[in-house]
Amino acid sequence: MNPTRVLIADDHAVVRAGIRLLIDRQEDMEVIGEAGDGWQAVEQATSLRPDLVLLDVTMPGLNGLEVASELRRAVPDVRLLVLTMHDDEAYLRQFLQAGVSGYILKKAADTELVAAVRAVVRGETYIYPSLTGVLVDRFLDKPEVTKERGSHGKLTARETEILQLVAQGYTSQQIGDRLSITVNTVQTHRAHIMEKLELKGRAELVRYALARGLLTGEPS
Amino acid sequence: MSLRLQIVLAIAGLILVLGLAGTFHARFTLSGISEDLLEQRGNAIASDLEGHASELLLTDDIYGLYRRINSIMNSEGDMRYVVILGPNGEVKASTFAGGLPVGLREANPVPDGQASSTEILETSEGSLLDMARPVLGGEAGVIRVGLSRERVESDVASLTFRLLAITGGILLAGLLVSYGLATLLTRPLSRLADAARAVGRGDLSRKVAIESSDEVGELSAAFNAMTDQLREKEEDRRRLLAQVISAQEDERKRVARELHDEAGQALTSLMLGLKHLHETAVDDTVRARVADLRTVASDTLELMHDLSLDLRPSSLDDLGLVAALERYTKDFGRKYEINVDFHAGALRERRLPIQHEVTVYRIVQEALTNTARHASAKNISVTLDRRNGTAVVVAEDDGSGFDPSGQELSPAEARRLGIRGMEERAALLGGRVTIESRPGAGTAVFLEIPIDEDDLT
Repeated sequence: MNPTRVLIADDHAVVRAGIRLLIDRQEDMEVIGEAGDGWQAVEQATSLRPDLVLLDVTMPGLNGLEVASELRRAVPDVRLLVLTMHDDEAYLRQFLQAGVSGYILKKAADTELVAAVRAVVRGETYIYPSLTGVLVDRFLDKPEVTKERGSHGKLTARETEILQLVAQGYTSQQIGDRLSITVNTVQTHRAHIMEKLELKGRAELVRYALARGLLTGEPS
Repeated sequence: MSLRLQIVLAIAGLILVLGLAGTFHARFTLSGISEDLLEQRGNAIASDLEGHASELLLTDDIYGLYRRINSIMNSEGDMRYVVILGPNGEVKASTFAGGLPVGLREANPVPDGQASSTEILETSEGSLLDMARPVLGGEAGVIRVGLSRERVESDVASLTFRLLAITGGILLAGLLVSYGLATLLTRPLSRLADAARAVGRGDLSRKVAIESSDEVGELSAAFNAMTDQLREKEEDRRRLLAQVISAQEDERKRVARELHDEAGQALTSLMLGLKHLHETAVDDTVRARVADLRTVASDTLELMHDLSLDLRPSSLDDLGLVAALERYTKDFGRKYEINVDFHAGALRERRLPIQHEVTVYRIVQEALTNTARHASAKNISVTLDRRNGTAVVVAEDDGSGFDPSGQELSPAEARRLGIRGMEERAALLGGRVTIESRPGAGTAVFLEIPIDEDDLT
């Protein structure tokens, strides 16, 4: 079987050298090229047709995400493995959407890189373990509040009005001024609403109002 | 005591003192003059009577004496009595029908060698001026004339009354005039005081109208000039604060990037190199040493990464506020074991200008840090949304809360300082921070920042 042909795209020469040392020592993989910026990465991936591109996030020219999108389009059969400092789920989410097959952190490069390359080449998805929560979230989506809960039907017109204003981020004082009632009354109403709907905090209340279509327009 | 009251009281006091002093003086003078006149009249009557009576007494013409004293009684309205005593004190003639009142005879003795004597007698019929005049040096007897002092007294009383009435009138007029004057004088001062209070509250746009060219007008002009300078200073301070904050943010960003990229990459390559050494080394002690070094490098990398995140998360610049806050709230909840529920509404799709994003991020950071430090809360909600032309961010906890208006103890004071910082940051972008909290009922920090639709990306 032919060794896996790897292209390294990273703007730090020392890192590239380290990775090359590591990969070249493996019998089943070899480094066929190095790119120091995003443009070079796209160019070389297109011309060299590697099996896998090891992709850094922060690069001059095109950044990692742009390179990933570009390569997905230009050479869809090339697998992409992100090797980055960013342990942020938001980055991971974006790269997954861009179609990369793996995402590992540089702090674990020495221990996980080789395994990740092998897994991705086999057609698996390799995600750095502490970040896999994203996948679960994606699968479950956000906890739904649209489903029937509590005794929301029993909200009075005034309570609905207050729910709407609270969800829009008005202060109790502002709501009181608007409805010509005291701040205490607003807070009592609000406590009732939370209790009736079994909501735990403001964020849940906002999501509830959103799901009920209460945030589409200004309240009358 | 208000200035107005002071002026009114001073003028009233002055009028009262002047009026009373004048009245007393006039009363004293008039009473003296009238008393003298009465005495002169009494003397004139007595001496006139002496001229006629001496002969009548010598001839012992009692009838003549009676005619004389009766005619005097009838011609002089305030004459009370005329008595003519003989040399031995016996009554020769008297206008008293039934004898002399007790004590009259003995009263007002004429000292030896004097032509007459005057004495005021207080009787049951009023105050009298008694004149005694010896006839022929007392050889022939003594003439006693009693004049009523009623007229004198009533004249003095009526003058006193009139003067007091005039004083009262002037006092009333003085009160009215001084009240008006004081009002005129103090009104611009009250307006100035109002304006000064407004300026104290931070309303530096407040001006006072200059209505006169007097001292008050001068004060108003000086006040306006002071307000202008304060406003300039405040603008300078704001500008400076904005510069400091932006410099601080730039610096944090630079250092965070440097740590994250340069130092981080160097450590990464170090670790990769050590890995290579580890795999190629033949000596076991070298391998063990390399493994140790790898741990050091790994720990340092972790530390730098955390520090960089703390200074300024790169996701804030690269991915935006929502991603950065998602990360921050998640880490925060883990660190402090507080359930943090983050909801981003309409702002999830669009990005605010970076300055706005950094401001919101820092204020949420501050609010959550306050909660962790003071509130002992179990749940925090952070919501981020757009309402009309405003970004609305609310961080609300279910913790112990506090009284946002009250004077608090030192930890709460520190908390208030945090609030001040949030307010300052928000104000730089024309936004504002509102805190709603009650002891035992949690705390909500509201941040509203106006956003321009064109600035969204």
